[in-house]
Amino acid sequence: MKKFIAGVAGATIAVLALSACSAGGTAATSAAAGASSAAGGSIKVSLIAKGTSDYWTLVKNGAEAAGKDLGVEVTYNATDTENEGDKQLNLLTAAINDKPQGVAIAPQDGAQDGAPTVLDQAKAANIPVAVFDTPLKSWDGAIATIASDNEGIGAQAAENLSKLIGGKGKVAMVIQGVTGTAALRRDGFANWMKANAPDIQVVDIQNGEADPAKSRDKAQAILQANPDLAGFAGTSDYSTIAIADEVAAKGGTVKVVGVDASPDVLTLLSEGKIDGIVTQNPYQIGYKTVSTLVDQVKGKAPAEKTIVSEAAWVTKDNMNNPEIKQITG
Amino acid sequence: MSTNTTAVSASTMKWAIPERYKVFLQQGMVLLVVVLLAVFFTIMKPNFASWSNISSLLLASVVTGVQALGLSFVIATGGIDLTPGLGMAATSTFTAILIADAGLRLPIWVGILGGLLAGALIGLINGSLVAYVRMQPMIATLAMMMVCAGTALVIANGKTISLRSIQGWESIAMGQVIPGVPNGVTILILLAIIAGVVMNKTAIGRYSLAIGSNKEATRISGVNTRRWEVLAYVICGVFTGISGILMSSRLAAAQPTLGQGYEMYAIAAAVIGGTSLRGGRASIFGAVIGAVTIQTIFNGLTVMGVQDQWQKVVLGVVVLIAVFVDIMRRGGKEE
Repeated sequence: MKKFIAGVAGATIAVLALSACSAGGTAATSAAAGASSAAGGSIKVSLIAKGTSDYWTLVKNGAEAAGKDLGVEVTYNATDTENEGDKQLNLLTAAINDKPQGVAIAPQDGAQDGAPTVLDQAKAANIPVAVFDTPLKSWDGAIATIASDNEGIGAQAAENLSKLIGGKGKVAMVIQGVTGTAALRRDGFANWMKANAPDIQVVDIQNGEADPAKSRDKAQAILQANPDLAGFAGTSDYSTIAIADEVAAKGGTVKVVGVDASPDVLTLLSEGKIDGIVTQNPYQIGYKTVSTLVDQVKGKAPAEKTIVSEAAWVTKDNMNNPEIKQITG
Repeated sequence: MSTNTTAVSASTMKWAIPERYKVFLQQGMVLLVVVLLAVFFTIMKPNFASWSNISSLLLASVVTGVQALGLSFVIATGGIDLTPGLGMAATSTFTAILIADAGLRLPIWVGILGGLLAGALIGLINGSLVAYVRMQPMIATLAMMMVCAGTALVIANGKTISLRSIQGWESIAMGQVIPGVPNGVTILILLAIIAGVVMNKTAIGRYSLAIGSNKEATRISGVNTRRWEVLAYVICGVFTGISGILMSSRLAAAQPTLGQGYEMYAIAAAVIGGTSLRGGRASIFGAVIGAVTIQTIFNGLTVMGVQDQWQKVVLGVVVLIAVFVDIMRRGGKEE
């Protein structure tokens, strides 16, 4: 019997000790914020994200930096995967129950429909809600949505490619899909060219289906069909890498631009095989989400319901600048 | 082969506590752990003890609790069922496609019935494979788990099915018949009472435990063990169907990819609650408390600001402790 009780007691202590240790990881933020928040009127905002990839680490970094700069406490939590809609709602509910001055969510697919009921509770408790990264479809109570402008990203790629090739010649694209983000970037690119570059001709747009091998096949076929191609654009990391590899293999003078700064893309950029990339700014998404909520708490409502996180143009020359490093990780 | 716990422990236990008191003791211990955890979290974060937080914690326990109730019957027979997680994905998408605007637009009750029948069908296949084809439960239900995962994606065409426009669907789990208590929690308690009666007072419960204690002896004494074993899996399947209905109500949607790993939470809940994976012993009360323990850990650590990844580490340690305590309970020897 003694053994039994000792076992239970030891077990419980072990659990508590472990949780206390793991809380240490975030304690730093809270402590730092706690010290400064005394001056700032003890504001606390809570962000619920939907993933733990590199991208989301940057969102988190941005949010925590904003917390430090503005002297507020930021709690950030996320589901491990995008297949845990109920878990995300649990995190959201727990965050709201903690009575922060503001809450923000990046809704995953499975939480899109369940979130409104939970967010209504936040509204009833006068807690302002912001949405970040991914728009929330069926709720319009958010003070603002902070996200990338994918059409703008396409346009930015087009504008820079046009500059690189002197405003004339044939260009083509390999895209990673025909819906959602890929379609928006494609349209942004094509529309900018149509409106602003009369001497540039978009000769072909092919779908690489977010598959590295298929993307290369498409890029190779386009290069075969258009030996006089001046510029080539990808809309995701895979399509951009495929284009860069094919262009390098052919050894031409085709200018290559793309979207998204994955480590492989950055390597190709430093080797000069990619001329420039437009990259989303997850760091800024995190930062602006916190600053928007804090402004709201301090009585300054956001001017627009949609706040665009501007994308950055990254080249070999600026890729090592600190402000770019912050974005690309 | 597992042996009859009652016989062994009565003769070899150093401290002679009658088996039925030890069951209470075990359950009391589990309850004590939850209370200690709650006290700890309340000290760390007083907000933890607010009713709004406790009720959302209980709501979060519902799906795992329901699945653990069903699993208790299978585990009692000495078997295991890996389908509750992705079976939930399959049954919830099946329910959704019956009633959704994007589906057949049938009345709500058809959806509920469909979900229960889909769950029962999964259980029937599992049980038949185990009892009649004599597959190992782990392998048979692992294969069925994959079938369910794929079926869910096929039914839903890979997309989340919205049920937001279905009047009354969200209130199945989220409404409050008892003020302040989400219906999902009320449903879990009612199901636990039903499961408790079935486990302890009816033939299926007694035979499940008997099969788990000593299958051969049970068969020789004239019980059609195969039929009762199938029934245990069917019960588990029906509870999986119920969990699918509650999950899709909670989300106001059916997400075909949601469910992976949920069977592990259900198994963990049963184990924390004192159900032995060797069969022959099951605790309905423990299964519910086990599910609440898991969510207490998740919720408390979330409130404390601990990240999701760490929460899973802590849960794993708690499961290990539960098993360790169970071994200690039996005087440090393997059954």
